[in-house]
Amino acid sequence: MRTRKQREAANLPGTPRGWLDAAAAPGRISLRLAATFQVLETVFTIVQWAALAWIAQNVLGRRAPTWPELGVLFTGGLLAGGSAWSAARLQAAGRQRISSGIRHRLVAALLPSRQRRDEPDAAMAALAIVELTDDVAGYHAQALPQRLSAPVSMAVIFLVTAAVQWPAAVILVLSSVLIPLNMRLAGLLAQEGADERVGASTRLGAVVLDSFRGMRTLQSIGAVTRRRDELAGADARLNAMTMAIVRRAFISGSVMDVVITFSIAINATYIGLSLLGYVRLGAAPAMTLSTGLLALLLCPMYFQPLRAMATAYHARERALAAAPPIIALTETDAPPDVGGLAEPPPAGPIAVVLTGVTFRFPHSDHPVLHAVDVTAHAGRWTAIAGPSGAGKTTLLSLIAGTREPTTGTVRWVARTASSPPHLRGCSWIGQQTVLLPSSIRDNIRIGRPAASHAEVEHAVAAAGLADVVARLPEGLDTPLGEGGSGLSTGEARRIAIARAFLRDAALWVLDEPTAHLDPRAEAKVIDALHNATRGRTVIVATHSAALARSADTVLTITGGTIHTTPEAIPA
Amino acid sequence: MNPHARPGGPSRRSRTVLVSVAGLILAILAEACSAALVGLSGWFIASSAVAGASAYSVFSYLAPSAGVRAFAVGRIATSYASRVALHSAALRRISAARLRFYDRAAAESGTHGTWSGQALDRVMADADTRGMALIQATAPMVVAGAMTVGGCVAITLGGYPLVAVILAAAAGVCATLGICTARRMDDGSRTRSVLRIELVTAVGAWAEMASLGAAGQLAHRTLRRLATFEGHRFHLAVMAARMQGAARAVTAAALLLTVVLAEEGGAAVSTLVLLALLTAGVMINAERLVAATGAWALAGQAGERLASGGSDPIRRPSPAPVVRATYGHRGLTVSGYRLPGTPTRSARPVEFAVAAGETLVVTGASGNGKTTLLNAIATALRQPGIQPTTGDVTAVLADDYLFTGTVATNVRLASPTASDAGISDLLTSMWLDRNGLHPSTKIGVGGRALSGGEQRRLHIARALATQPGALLIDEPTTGLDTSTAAHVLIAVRRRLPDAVLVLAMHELPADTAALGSTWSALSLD
Repeated sequence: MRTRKQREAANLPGTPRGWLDAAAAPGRISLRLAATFQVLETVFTIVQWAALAWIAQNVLGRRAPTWPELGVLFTGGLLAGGSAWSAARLQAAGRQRISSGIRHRLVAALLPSRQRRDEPDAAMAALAIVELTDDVAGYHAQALPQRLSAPVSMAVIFLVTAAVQWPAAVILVLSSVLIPLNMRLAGLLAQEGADERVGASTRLGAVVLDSFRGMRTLQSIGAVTRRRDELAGADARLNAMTMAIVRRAFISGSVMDVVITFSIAINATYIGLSLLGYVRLGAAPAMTLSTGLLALLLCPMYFQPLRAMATAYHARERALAAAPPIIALTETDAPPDVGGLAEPPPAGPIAVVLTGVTFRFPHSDHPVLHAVDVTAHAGRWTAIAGPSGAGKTTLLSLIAGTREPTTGTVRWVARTASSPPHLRGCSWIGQQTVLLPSSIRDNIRIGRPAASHAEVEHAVAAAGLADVVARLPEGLDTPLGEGGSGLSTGEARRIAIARAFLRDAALWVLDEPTAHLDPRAEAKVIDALHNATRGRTVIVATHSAALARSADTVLTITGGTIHTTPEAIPA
Repeated sequence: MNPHARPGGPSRRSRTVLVSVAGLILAILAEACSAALVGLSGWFIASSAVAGASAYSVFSYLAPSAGVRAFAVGRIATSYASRVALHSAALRRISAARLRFYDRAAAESGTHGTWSGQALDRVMADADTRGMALIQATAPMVVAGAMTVGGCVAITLGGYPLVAVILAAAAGVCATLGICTARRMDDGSRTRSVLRIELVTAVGAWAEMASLGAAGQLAHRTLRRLATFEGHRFHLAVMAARMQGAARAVTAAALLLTVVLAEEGGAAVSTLVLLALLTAGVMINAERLVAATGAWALAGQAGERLASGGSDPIRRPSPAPVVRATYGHRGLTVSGYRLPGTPTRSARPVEFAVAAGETLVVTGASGNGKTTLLNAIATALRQPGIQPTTGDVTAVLADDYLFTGTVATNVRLASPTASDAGISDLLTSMWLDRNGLHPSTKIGVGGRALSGGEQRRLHIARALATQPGALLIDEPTTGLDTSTAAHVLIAVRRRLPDAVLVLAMHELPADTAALGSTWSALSLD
């Protein structure tokens, strides 16, 4: 029952194939136009060759080529070039539309404007947006127009040949019959040994990855050279196998070559002998130089589109491989959109109370946090320490409401009321500050665009940015470039503090706010934080000794449980 | 390519060059046959038409039609042979590039972080681009050059020097178009790399922006960056399309001028057709120059990245802490290490000396710097110069790696002469035989078929196979029950009675007797 369901699922739009086809939609118009221009290129090339055949006929009759004839020869070539240019340009446009469509969907899923329940793997997200999207768009831009234009182009060439010299068209038909046979042969030859090659290439991949991942181990046990020999051996085995397959694949390519080449040779011989008068097919139209020459020149063109189509195979494989990760990122089960704050956070100082909180990632057996009972007191600084991966950030996201505990509750408690946590109700400062390409003032006002000049000035002072702003020639109106050029990392972090200050939330949740800072910058950021959070509840996860020392309470996470460090650490 | 490289030794390299040259010559022959086939066929038809039109003709169709067949067979044979030879040479070049990169990575000792599979894939793709440039760039460029020269010489000898000049000029224009394309060509790997970092930042900063209610602005900014990136790529593609279209226009002009000049020169119809078809044949190759020079530029960029060790933060080197470590017959001395402060401990200096036959246990909670200290010592001891041989000091670090294969292949990496019996003996001493491990047991990708405790003991067994004079082990007893842990510690000491042992552990073992008679402890808490 389940397998049948799965089989049915293979054809649904959510599967890689279905998704891949649907992803082409935004570029379909451009790519169809590109296919049209590809057909036009064939048509104009036929015109060019027809002009040449016509001129040759006239020269045979001792008539010099006239300007109209030469004009058609030249214009045909020019228009064919122009069509090729337009087709390539439209392919680029279609590609851009497709990739932009996928990227918009990815960004919307990864950086939603309201809630985000799942924390995506940032590296995977970046790979999907940059590389995998290109693989998909590139495949469509290349393959879609070809698939549409190839049969039409071949039909046009066939019809023109049939119109001028039908025996030549018969030769084309006969060789076309051989093509599916050849495809079949190619398939058979490629399949044989393909499994071995996949095996060898997997082995090589493992050896290469192992060698680099384990480089330090190789160095510490003195095996760098021995491993190199192994790598060279695996490489040579893969190459030998690839060559065996390539040779066979080229044999089938050569069969195609034989068909094309001998079609030309047979055509040439038939046309030549007809012109000499040695051969005469009863029903065939009278052979002239122009019709013979045109039939000959069209013969190699007939096979061109088939060859182009064969090259799209690898692009398709890559695109199919790219689809599942993109699907996984875009189709996260979106949380119900709460549309702003469901319950406004209670007024006044807030304490955060965690009761029996256990958190487990969806596909994991071990809980990250186990039966945690902790209270962060109102108006105090609580630091969370512990080794990397111990669950500090997870704890913060529970406190800020970007995740929900598997069991247990998290409440924000004020003197008179309490509410569930909500990201929009607190100020979160992380390890990375993103500055938008606008003025410092606008960057600080980002959370409260209507803030007055005095309020911004106040925030600047609280974050310890007054000196920095005074140093800048345009002060608060200084534009920030991409990525906030002109400010140091520590200064950018203090802008984040000024932003949060202006928002004026009762609870501040800080995730390693002094990461990547040198001690001097760190000291300034810590000062600014203390200044800006006077009377507020602050929960900060950190590795930094200096930051932890400045907290009222230090909690340590180890093995999923939390311990309170009783006494303050000596400075 | 690179005279300083040594992949596979000189004979292998010269064979690669030989195969490449043979492939290129065959490719030229294949194209020449192809052009000659069409040219001769056209000439044959035109001549037949002339002969058929006159009453008394001496035209013999036998020689030209035999020629057509000969070129047809020649074209099939040479194109097959050239494809095989060029692919063979390209694959050899890819292997060589991979090994060169391995050598470079091996030479940069000490600073390795982890390699992600994705980063490595990109490096391997660069090696592929570099190798395949023979087929995608070098071959079309060489063939176009040879065809142009050959065509011009043939046409000049045939008495139409002006046509030859036109043909040469047209091919020259195509080459110029190609160079213009190549100049502006950019595989975008730098832009991509910057973009990837920005995206990682944006995903990381989402919570901060969302708490300010500015997540929409973050998404908007990200989309704008992506639009700039796409716009740039579109611009490049349009440029390449324009160049390709221009090359087609040049061909059309060359064909027109050839026909006009041949007619003016009083060429017979057969000669005129031959000249026109030769021009077309040469120009098809010249047009390929545009794509080929682009591929050449991309291969050059891939080569530069390979030479500089990859464009991305493939390795994330953590700043190596300074430590002085010396090892001689008297023992191991470590000094000058400054233990950094953490939320639960203040900074302080660390130094110690361990004599031969003694054991030092470094204890501390996780995150307190045991691993960093051990890594720093191992790196310091690997610096060339002071140490007698590298085999004398061996480290089993936290990120020690098991290589895909069997137990025996892993041990033999450390000690190539190890016999099956010797390996079995090592397994027994680590109690791995009780878990059913033999020398021929397959351990899966990266050793993942083994449990954590088995992996750790196999790391130690592998290190023991080198018979080191000093052995550093980070967390030797992770994932082991108490009795196995004690047994492993005793076995290590029994195998290396006179060695310096430094063990980093969470806390001292329950039964300190397992540490032997002479041991000391250093706490990092």
